[in-house]
Amino acid sequence: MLARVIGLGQRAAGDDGAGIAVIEALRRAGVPEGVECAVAAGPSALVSLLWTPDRVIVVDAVVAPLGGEVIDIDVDRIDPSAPLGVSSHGLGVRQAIELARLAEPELTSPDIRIVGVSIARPSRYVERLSPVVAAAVERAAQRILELVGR
Amino acid sequence: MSEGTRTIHVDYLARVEGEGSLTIRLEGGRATEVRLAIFEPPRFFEALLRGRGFDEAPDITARICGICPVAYLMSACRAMEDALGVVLPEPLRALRRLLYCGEWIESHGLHVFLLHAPDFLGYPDAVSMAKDHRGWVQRGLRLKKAGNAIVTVLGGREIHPINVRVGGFYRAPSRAELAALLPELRVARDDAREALRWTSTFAFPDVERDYELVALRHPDEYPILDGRIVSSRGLDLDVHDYDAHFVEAQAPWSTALRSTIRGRGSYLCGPLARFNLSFDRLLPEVQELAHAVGLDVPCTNPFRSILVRMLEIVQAFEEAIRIIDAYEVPPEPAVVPVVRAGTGHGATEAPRGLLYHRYTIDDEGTIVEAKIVAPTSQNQLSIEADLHAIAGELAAMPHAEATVLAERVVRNHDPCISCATHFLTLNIEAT
Repeated sequence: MLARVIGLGQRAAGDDGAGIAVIEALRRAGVPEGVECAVAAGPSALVSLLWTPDRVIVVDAVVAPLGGEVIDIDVDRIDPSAPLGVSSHGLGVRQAIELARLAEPELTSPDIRIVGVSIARPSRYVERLSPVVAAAVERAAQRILELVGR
Repeated sequence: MSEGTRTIHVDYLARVEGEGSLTIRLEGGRATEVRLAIFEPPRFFEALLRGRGFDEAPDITARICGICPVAYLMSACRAMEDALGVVLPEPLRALRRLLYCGEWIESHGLHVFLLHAPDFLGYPDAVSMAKDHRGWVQRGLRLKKAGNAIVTVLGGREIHPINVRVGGFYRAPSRAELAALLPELRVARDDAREALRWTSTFAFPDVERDYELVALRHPDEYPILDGRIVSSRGLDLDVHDYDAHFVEAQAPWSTALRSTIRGRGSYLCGPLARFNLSFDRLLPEVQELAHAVGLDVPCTNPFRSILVRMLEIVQAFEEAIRIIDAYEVPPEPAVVPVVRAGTGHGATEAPRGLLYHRYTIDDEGTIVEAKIVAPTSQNQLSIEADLHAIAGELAAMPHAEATVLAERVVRNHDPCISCATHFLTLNIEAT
């Protein structure tokens, strides 16, 4: 396998489902051989998905003032206390990555990247993306395809 | 603020499932006000369900929770099967029990190792704990992964399983698919036994609570999929009689409904209730293990719920291994229901406690009424009562310590208070 792409989010929480939508876009477009797509509802489900020798790309919604941006995020530069690092499931993305590395340093992917889709605020019980975030989904999928070498 | 009066306010509770806030007003040595404000999704889903097909209820309600979707699938299926007169053949029932074991392992594993254990070992979070206790966090994550593997194989995918339907499954797994899980399950089962011994060495605050405990009770099995609703004070009901004995009301500070037993008051469901009411239904070796670590009935110290969750993980692994060992592919993956009008009731044991669904469907199978009562709604009053019970202790503590203890009291019950979004801004402050 070349890479594992993991979409993080909740479909029933409006723009929070951006990561899931990007995975769906990748599956529609088709990914290169050796690229595996997966989804996780929250960072706690992310940990074991990081245990792979291959490159991992996590795609997640990121709260920012301006919605609809596609952002490359350096995992090691995320402030553990930043909003990205906090989730209802007790862990943030940064914490999930740290836990994976601490628990299984030999098993955890040596190359983990995050592609963020900026959103204004997750909604409750809305099963669609806002237009500005929906418009960013294809761009995020394209960025991921660049990262996996297509 | 007058002298001797103090308010502990936590805007967002850390390490609980979802968004919630906690306010405790202390005057002297007692709590004059305890407000656990939670934002709970099932009410919104009930409205979403009206007008949808009977067969859509399991998948729609499974989206309520990213941690326990199987519980919602199972209670919805049970209720719809009750409405449609479907009785599952034993092999399909066993597969459902296996799927549920996977979720118990995964959900309890998350709570014990990543959310609850840091409280006992004095760490603010799992990452800090992992730096000093790598081996246990490693075992916890592996154990959780083994539960995920069961859910993935049977459910079709790890989160929001898609292979469950009213009447059974869309596809039954092959024997080889399930047998491939066994090596990982056996290793994780042994790790879980060791982890139970480890958690039994934790220091537990000396608190005993006088709960009315409520759980399903089955004639032969530890309760997961079905049974009668029983309580520690004599309730013994068919699931169809749930609404006659339990009532819900809304507090102005919370979107969640709070359940009581009619004419009696608060009650507690979840691991402590199951353990106390069905200890004799645990597998004999699991009962022996409980005795060996000093976990006996009655157990009404909420801090010791971490031990009960670990014990239930062991039980779930043992059961999963037995079900897989005995598995033969069923002739059909589902009983196809004949649509008819009716009302159905379903209650199963989610990791956090009793999850009740009721649906009324018309003669075309369209949902005309839905009711969902999640475990956290049922436990909310008991959680607040726990905080009242330790008010004197909180009042005597420095503010920061009191805040930590108050949060621990909430986390004892692993509340799942909003699962429809994974993002929230955390801001803990004490004023």
